[in-house]
Amino acid sequence: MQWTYRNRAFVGTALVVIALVCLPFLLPGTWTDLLTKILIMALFATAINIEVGYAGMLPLGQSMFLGFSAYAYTLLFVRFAFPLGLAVVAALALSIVINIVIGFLCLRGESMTFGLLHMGFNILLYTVVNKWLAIGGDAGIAGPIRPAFLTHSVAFNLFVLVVVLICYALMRRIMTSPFAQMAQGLRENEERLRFLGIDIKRFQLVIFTISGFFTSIAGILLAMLNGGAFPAYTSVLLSTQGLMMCLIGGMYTFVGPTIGAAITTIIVTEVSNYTYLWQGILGVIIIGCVLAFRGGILGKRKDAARSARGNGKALPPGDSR
Amino acid sequence: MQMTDLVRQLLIGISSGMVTFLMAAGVSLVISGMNIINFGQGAFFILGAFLCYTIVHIIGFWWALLLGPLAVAILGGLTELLLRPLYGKSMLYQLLLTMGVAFVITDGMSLIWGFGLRVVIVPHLLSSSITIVGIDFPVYYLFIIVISGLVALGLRLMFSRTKLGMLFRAIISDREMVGNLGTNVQLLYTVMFMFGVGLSGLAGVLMAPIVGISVQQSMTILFSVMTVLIIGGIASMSGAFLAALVVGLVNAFGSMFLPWFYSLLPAVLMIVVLLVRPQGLFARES
Repeated sequence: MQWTYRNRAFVGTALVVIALVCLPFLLPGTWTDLLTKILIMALFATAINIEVGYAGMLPLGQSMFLGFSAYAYTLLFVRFAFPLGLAVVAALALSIVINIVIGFLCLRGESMTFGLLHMGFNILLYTVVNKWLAIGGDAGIAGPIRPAFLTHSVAFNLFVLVVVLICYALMRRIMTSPFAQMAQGLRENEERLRFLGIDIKRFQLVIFTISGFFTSIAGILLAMLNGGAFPAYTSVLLSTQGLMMCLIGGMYTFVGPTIGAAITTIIVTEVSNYTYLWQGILGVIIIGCVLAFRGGILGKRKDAARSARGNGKALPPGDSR
Repeated sequence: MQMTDLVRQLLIGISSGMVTFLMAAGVSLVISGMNIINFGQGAFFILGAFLCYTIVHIIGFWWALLLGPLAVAILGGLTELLLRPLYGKSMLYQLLLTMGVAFVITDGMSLIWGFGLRVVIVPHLLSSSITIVGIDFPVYYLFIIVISGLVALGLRLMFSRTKLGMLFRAIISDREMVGNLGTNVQLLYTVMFMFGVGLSGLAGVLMAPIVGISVQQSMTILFSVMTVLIIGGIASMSGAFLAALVVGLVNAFGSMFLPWFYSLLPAVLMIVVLLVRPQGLFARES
């Protein structure tokens, strides 16, 4: 058997998975929950990266889908006492509908308007969730939200690991298909794609929906982890953190956001135990990343020229800078 | 009594609309001139308000009105220096950088001023109210309207009459040509950014005596500005002016009649505008 790059990647993945399976048995309880949170945030960041890294879109408010599905699931499971499977399916279906509607609205303008609107809807949801007393107001909804067989933190960790790995496999499959190569074409040169007769808006909507779907799964997992849905899930701060995870890890790679998610989550969770200034620390890291290594931690291994050039998509049409 | 309430809401609506316009004008200038959405704008607004609080305690309100925006603008200039290596690269990098700066400023502010609500006390002259035909007019709201009106007028004159305004307009329509003609575009960008941020600072200083200032508001404020910009049309300043007034009035009267959900009204308006006229309500078709 030849020791090719593909084989190496496969062995590497297998080793990481084995390590992740063993870790919760070795770590103390609170660390297991942190590990679970990292896995969920990694799914969230990778879903964002479908839009950011592959298609060059600017989803500034992705946490709205995270929060929406978390609320939908919690409401269905706790308030309306749906069975587990039905609650998950219904929450996902609702999320997809909302996703398509918001995607349609956001994509009506240029790329800059897309970003602003995306964030606008995020803040809108945040306001609704905070003010609407019927769904808990600013206290959120808490409840016995995990099914019985997942109450133990190790069991839940393994469950999340399985779900996240399945999602990764699906995303990886989608992102290596010809469809995704078109997405990269969208990032590099939108105009040329248009010349080829491709309906850009519809294509972006599909990307948007795929990304939103996986974000929604992360949302449901997050609700299960923390035992409820809370307004913080829909905050712009969380959306921003998602983008930062992509940046820190390297957004032109598939694994980059996962590494970024691990780093960011550890900073946010652990540093906030010692000082309330974690946000400032995160800010400094971001500034450093943007200025010093834009490709992220994994960026150097990829084509350096491509990540350094950025993408042409960000410029409005007609701008020849 | 009823009449007084209505007039008061009208004044609140117009004055908050005017202040929102100051910020929207700054954001719009930076967006259309430099292609950057400055996420720090909300944080700079709060910074202006906090500076106002401190300067009022040291040397008084009138100095705060002058020094607050100036200090914020200088900080904005420093931020622009950080942005320089990123021109011509993906917009995402510029976004993340301004977010990072906003985070640092926000935490810096909570380090200095803490998390509590701060209230600014204005000079006696401004805190009184005048009574005309039996209706009370609080002077401070009138003061805000006058000051922001003057600034808006000044902006308009600056854009149409002065050399700097001409350069700003030139850079919005064709920045490469401006550079080719021998103008220092880098410096102009710095000035433009400082200008935009300084307007936010001024808005913060003006709002400080009315609303309690706290660190956590920066995103909410940014959102209200974004709403105004989308309703009015992102690159259109006169559109932003009208939209700011509309949103201000909707908010003021909404809080009277629909106290629960009034903060959603501008957002709903924004969605309707997007469906009907995606380029903005008051913007000309491009």
